Amino acid sequence: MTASPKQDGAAPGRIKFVDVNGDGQVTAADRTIIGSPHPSFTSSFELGYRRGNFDISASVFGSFGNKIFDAQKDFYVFRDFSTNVRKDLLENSWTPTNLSAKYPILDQNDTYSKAISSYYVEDGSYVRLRNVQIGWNVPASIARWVSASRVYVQAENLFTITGYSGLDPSLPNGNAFGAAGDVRDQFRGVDTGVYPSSRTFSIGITTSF
Amino acid sequence: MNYAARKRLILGVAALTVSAGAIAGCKNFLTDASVPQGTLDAGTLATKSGVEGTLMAAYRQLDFTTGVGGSWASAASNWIWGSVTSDDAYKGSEATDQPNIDPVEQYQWSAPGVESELNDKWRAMYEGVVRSNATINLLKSVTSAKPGEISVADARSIEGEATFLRAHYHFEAWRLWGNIPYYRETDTDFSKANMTKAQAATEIIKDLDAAIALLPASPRNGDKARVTSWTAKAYKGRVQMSNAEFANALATLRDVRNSGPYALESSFDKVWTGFSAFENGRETILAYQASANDGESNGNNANYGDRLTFPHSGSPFGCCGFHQPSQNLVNFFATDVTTGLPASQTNVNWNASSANFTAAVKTPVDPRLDFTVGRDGVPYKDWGPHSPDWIRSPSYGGVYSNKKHVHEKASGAVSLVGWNNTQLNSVNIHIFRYADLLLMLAEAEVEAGTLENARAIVNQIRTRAGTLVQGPGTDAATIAVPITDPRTAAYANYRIGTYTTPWTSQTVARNAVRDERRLELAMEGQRFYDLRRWGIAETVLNAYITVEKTRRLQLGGAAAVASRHALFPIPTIQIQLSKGKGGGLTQNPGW
Repeated sequence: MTASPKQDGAAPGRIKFVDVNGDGQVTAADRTIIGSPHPSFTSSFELGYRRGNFDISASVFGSFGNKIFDAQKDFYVFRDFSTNVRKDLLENSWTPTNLSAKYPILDQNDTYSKAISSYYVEDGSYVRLRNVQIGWNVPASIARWVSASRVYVQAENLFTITGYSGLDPSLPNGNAFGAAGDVRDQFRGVDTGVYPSSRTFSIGITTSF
Repeated sequence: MNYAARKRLILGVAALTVSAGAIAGCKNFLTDASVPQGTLDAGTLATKSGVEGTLMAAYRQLDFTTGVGGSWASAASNWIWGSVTSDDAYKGSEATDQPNIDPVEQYQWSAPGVESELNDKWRAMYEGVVRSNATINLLKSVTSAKPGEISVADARSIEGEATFLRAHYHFEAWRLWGNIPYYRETDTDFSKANMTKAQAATEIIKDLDAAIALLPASPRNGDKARVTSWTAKAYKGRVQMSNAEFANALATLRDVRNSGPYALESSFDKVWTGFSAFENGRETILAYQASANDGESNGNNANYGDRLTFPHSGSPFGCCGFHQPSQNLVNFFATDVTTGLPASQTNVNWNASSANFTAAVKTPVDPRLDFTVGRDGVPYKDWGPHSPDWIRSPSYGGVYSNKKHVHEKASGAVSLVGWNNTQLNSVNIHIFRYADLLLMLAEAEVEAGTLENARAIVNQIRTRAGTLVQGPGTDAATIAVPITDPRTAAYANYRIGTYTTPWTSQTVARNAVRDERRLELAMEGQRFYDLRRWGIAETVLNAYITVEKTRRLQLGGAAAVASRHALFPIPTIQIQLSKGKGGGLTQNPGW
């Protein structure tokens, strides 16, 4: 601590902030831009394959290089208001014997660690299988009373590959209304804990009479 | 700051309603001529009632509003900035409710939560300035465009009222931040650099002098709460004292005492009260006019800024237990059994007890204790005895409740509408009252060496405090009873006396006046500013923390009070917004 830049409220186990302007103390003047919510690139693959009466299609989406500000940490790590917290706070918080902990020390009097910092910001890159569908065209020899029919099974959001620790890196739109009306544009990349995208399985039949 | 946008915001209270209506159902919105449409611009308001309404909006900013900067941080009572920061009170409630205020109590004022609270206070005070300036500008445009629309006398008073309010809002900001920018109606560049604390005080007094010259001696239209030349003169004395101009303050305050309309209420229970018969009495100099059951459907005109500071769930008020008196404050009310003077002056162990000062403890006390602090077993006005289940978290907020601003059950001051309406009332919030003024005058007398004048004032205050005391409180008639009433012996041993020996030492006199000020104005949002004014905040508060941290865990996390605590940090967002050709704001030293 003594070797670090002077920081109000500094104590072992609390978050240590960067002295951005190098003046030897951490103040409001050290604020800087941490990251961008905009991806470096997004991509998607649409796959389709048909053999005989069977067909398969899939849609894979990827977003790379964007950052997410996980505002939820204010609640589930820093216990703002009387909320539930993450279960692993119990084992993974800093203690004198757990020096490289995932979370800062559990300290009721620590009013500084929850300051907005890179601790809230994570890489939001992800790859997701948005949709996969396997279909079978029912041969006319089996069901000749209908002209054409196809049965299929489908899965949406079957899996997501991401390093993001929040609920859903795709950040479904939440409501964000301010005095100026719809301010969702100001909440890009901010995870306010909106209900995540659901994984949906469906089976279906397409036919006509 | 975008002035045009903010001005539209002020003038457009009705516009908000209109836009809400437009979202709810826009069937005939554009064709129905009976529905007010769009933003109220200066042209629409260019009438006498438009000017009066704008002036009323300037008054309205005295307490929490649902508009700009509306939060507990902008409460008229200053319970966060003047009381929780001092040795009078804890934040109270529990740690995880309003956690932004935790570090205020812990003197960790660079913590992120504090900035958010400070920013609310800053925005609310400068919103008050903007509204005051908008009133003056509108008034000037109406009087020049429509001569005769507003009488000359009215126009002078309106300008005086707005100028006074502008001085008040700047003074509020000055007490927190010292080095503030000063904005008048002619300003168009909102990137001004801050003035020094001394320069800003000069500007405040300049506005108060202008207001004194413009205002009538009695309130316009007979509206008791409107400011008069006497309000402005009294306030000028307050600012002079705050700026340590003792000789000037002495002249101003003596003039107000000798020739002004003010007097002390006959007994202490009539100072903070929900009974409308006593509101705006002769002790009131400036008060936020809380209003309940006036047709506003959410209780927003009531005592909104202090609604969280009622006793908690087991009490008749339901919520939320903020702003709880400290053990230190309660101990401070003990008096000497023979002289009835503060025990703290003669007993070095006055603050030794950490025990709950319940009705069973019969240590002699100043009767003001039980108009200031709710303690177990003692009647809480006429709500029955205070009980342990009224407290939200004793280990955190202590065992006592706030009391002054709570309405009496029999007063009917409670709001019948709004969220948790039992903690909304029409008890006016005193911003400046005559006892406060008298005690400032006593300070000025001490500094001038006229110690006996100071003693007379302190004795006047103490004599009043010894008239009626908290009664058994079973109905309106027994809320306050004579100090000799034997029924009070069941819950307290009231004892108060006057200083009978002439004061010969300036130090003794100064300390006695300061003690009296703490006792009289406890929990009224003044104490921290007083400690700062006297230059003893560091000494007193560090000593307070040393003892009090053994009583309340959260104070174990308190930072030491240092020289930088002489001023609050300016919110960073305001520094960023002020960048422009005016030079912008500079942060206060040490933050």
